[in-house]
Amino acid sequence: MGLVDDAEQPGFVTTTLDKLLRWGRSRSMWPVNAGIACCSLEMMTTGAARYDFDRFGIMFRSSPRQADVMIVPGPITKKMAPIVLRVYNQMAEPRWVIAMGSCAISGGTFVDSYNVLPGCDTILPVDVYIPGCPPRPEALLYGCLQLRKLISETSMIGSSRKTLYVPPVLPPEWSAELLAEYGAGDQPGYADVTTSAPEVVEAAYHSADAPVAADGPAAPDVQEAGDDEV
Amino acid sequence: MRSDLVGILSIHGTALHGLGFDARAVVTREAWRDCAADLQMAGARFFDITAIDRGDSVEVILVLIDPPATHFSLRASCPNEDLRLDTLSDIFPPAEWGEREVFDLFGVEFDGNPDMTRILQPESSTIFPLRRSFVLEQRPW
Repeated sequence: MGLVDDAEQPGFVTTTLDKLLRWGRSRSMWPVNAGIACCSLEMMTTGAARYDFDRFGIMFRSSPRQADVMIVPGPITKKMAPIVLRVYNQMAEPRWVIAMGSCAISGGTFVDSYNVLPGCDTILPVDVYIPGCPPRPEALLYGCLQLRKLISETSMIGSSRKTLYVPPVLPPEWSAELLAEYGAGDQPGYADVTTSAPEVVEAAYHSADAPVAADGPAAPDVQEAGDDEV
Repeated sequence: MRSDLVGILSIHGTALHGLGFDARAVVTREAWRDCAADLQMAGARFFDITAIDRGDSVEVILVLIDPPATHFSLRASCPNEDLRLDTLSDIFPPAEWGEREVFDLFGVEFDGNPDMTRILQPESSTIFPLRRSFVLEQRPW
């Protein structure tokens, strides 16, 4: 990246397409507007005038089709889990997940409940964990800025980014239809964790990495991505 | 407590014990539905339906209001081998969802309820979590 020092045609910047995409994506994180539980009140506060998400380009979208970040603000009950997963699957790739608060991280105080998942990372690939019960709006902002850093450091071209859904744990109460719809497809990168052997699941999980590893330079530009000012 | 409600209870072979919110009348399963219907005709109003696991039986509790403000409960026990009870959903329409909740959490099936399915848990759930025999999943740590 650099300025073209040409007096006749000023104002040009050279960069790579990858860096340009990362720059744009990291500065327009649009979370899906899915307030699951009480942490969503802090999420709303963060979006309101006093803390003001919008100044970072973070704007809530009401449709998952327009969103690329999912903030999970609360415990996921087993009845809610298929809906959360459906919303996640409806989001356009690449997509990211923020687990906000103790319940979304580990189930929190409901971890022993018969009806609550022990953390949303049992069904979603979480990128940023924000502890707190609930986290303050500053903490959520900090978490979002960490995610922005992550996005701006992750290459999107020939990406090794895992966006395929491979659930480590599925609730045993889920019916076979739900498993067929959400978990156990035939696509590469998918594995049915309820029936497959652990090594099969492991292989499927890493098969999303395989093209990049075969192409030679794996995970490009991670080190030199500190300069995100394009 | 009005005297006619006390009379209805005595017709169905039971009587009121306890005071205040603890006032209760235990009926047999056979008299459960008729007693509730007679109480409704005499003016008792539905407040809640819930249950307690007594170990060898599940006691279904119908909380009623004797207007304007007196609460009392009508109770019937179902042995663990036969968790069935007649529905009250046509006598007290709000009891339909309450009975579904009792079924969801305790496993008591109400004969005649038009929609005896899970209400709080996923439809595919197989557990009755408020039963004493239900054991929570062990954490790995």
